[in-house]
Amino acid sequence: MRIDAHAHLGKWYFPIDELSSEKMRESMNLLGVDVTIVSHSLALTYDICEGNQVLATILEKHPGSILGYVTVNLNYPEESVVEMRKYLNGTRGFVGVKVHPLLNDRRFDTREGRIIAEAAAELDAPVLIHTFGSDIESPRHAAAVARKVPELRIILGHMGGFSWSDGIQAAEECDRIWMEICSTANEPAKIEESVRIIGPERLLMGTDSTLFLPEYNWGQLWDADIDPRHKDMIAGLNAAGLFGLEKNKGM
Amino acid sequence: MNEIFDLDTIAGFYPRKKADISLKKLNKVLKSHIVRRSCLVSARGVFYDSRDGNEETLVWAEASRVDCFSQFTPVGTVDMRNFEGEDVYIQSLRVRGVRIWRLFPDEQGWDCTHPGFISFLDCLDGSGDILYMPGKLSSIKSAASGRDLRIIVDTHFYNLTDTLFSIEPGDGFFLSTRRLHGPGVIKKICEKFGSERMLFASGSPLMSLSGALAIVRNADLSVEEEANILGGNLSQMLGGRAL
Repeated sequence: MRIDAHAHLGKWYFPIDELSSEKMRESMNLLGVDVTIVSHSLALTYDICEGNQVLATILEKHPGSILGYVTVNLNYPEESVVEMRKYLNGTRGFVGVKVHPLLNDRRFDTREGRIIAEAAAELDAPVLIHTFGSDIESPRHAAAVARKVPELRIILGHMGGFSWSDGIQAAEECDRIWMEICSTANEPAKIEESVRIIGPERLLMGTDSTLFLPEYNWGQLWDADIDPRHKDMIAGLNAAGLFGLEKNKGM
Repeated sequence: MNEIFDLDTIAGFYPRKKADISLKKLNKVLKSHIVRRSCLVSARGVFYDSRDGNEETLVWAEASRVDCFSQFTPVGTVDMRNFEGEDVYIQSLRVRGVRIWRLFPDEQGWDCTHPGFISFLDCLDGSGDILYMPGKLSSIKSAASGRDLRIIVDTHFYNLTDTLFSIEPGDGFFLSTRRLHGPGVIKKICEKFGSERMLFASGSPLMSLSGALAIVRNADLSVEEEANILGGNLSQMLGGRAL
C-alpha cells in the first residue's frame, strides 16, 4: 500500500502548472499511490475557513483516494478549533490537522499552538506540522508541545528539511512523533539515518505535490539503502496504521 | 535510452550532516542508474582546502578513465574565504584539464557582491571555461555583467519568476535542473528558451539521483529535448573533449 501523507491542492504563487484533483489521481495511478492526504493552498496561504470548505467539496469527489487535513492558523486558535470540530467528525474525508508556522509567522510552541494541539489530541487527529531549519519552524518546537500534550500525535512535515538531524532528534525524544520525508533536501541519507536511529515505524512518505512533482521525493525512498520491507512500511503501511486506513500491498 | 552526463556530483567526506558521499558510494549510485559520465568535485575543496581538493579531484578523474563505470570530468573550485585573485593557479589547472568550475557560496558564507567573486569572474572572462554555481540568476548576472562568460545557475524553482525575467537569448546563462522540481517548470523553460539552456544535475550521492532523473524524464519533453538536457548540452559545452 502506498500513501502520500503530505500533499496539497490549489494554486501556488509560483509560475508552475496548477494540478487539479483529477490530475492528482492520474499521477497517483502512475506511481501506484492508493491514498493521498492533502491540505488546500487557499487555507495554508490565506483563509482557513474558505480553504477548508473548498477542500471539503473536492474530497467528496474522491472518497477514499484523496483525504484531507483541516488547515489551522496559529493566529486564530479559537477559529481553528471550530474548523477542526466541523470537519473531523469521521464523515467528510478529513483525517488530520495541518499547521504551518512559517506561513502563519507564529511558532507552534506557543499558547495558540497548545490550544490547537489539545483539540487535536481530544479529536484523536494527527497534526502535520511544517518544519524546517529556521527558528520559527524548528522540529524542536513540535517536540516541546508533544511533551506537554499527552496523546497528541505529531507528524514533522519535511522532518526539518535540511536540518533533518533535528527532526530525528525530536522523534527520538518522543514516540508520538512521526517524520514525513519530502522536501528539496532530497537526501536518501536522512531516511537511512532515521531507520538506523529510531527504526522504520515512524517514517512516512510525502511528496509536497502539487507544489512539487511527486516523483521527485519518491526518488529518495527508491534510492535509500535500507531493507525493502522498511521501504514498504515508509511507502504506506506506517501511514495506514497512523490514520487507520486498511489495505495491504507491497511497494 | 539517452546517455546521461550529470553536471553535479561530489565525493569525499560530508561534515555538515551524516551522509555517505564517498567515491565508492558515488560510483555505486552512478552505476545503478547507468550514468556513464559526471562532473566531479571533491568535498575537501568545498569545506577545507580548495587546492588540496582540486588535486584530489584530478586524481579521481584520471583514475576513472581506467577502472570506473563512470568517467569523471574534473571540476575545479576556489574558496572565496581565501581567494586572492589567482590567475596563475587557475591557468595551471586549465592546462591540467579543468575547464569547469564550481563555487559554494552557501557552504562558505559569501554572496555575489564578494570582491573575490568579482575577481574570479575576471579570471574566467573570455576563457571559454564554464562556471556552475547556486543562486538567483538576476544576482549572478548583475555581478557578471560586461564579461564573456558561460555560467550554469543552480536555482530553486521558487525563484522561477526571477529566472524568467533575467534570462535572455544568447546571454551565456544556462540552468541546472537540480531544483526545478515544480510541476511544468522544465517544460516552461524549454518552451521559452529552448532545451539547449538546461543541463541535468543531480547532486549525487548526497541527493537522490532517481528523483533528479524522474523530473526530467516526466517533463513531457520531446526525445531530442530530453537528450539535450540529460547529456547532449553538457557534452557540447565541453567541446566534445575526451572525458
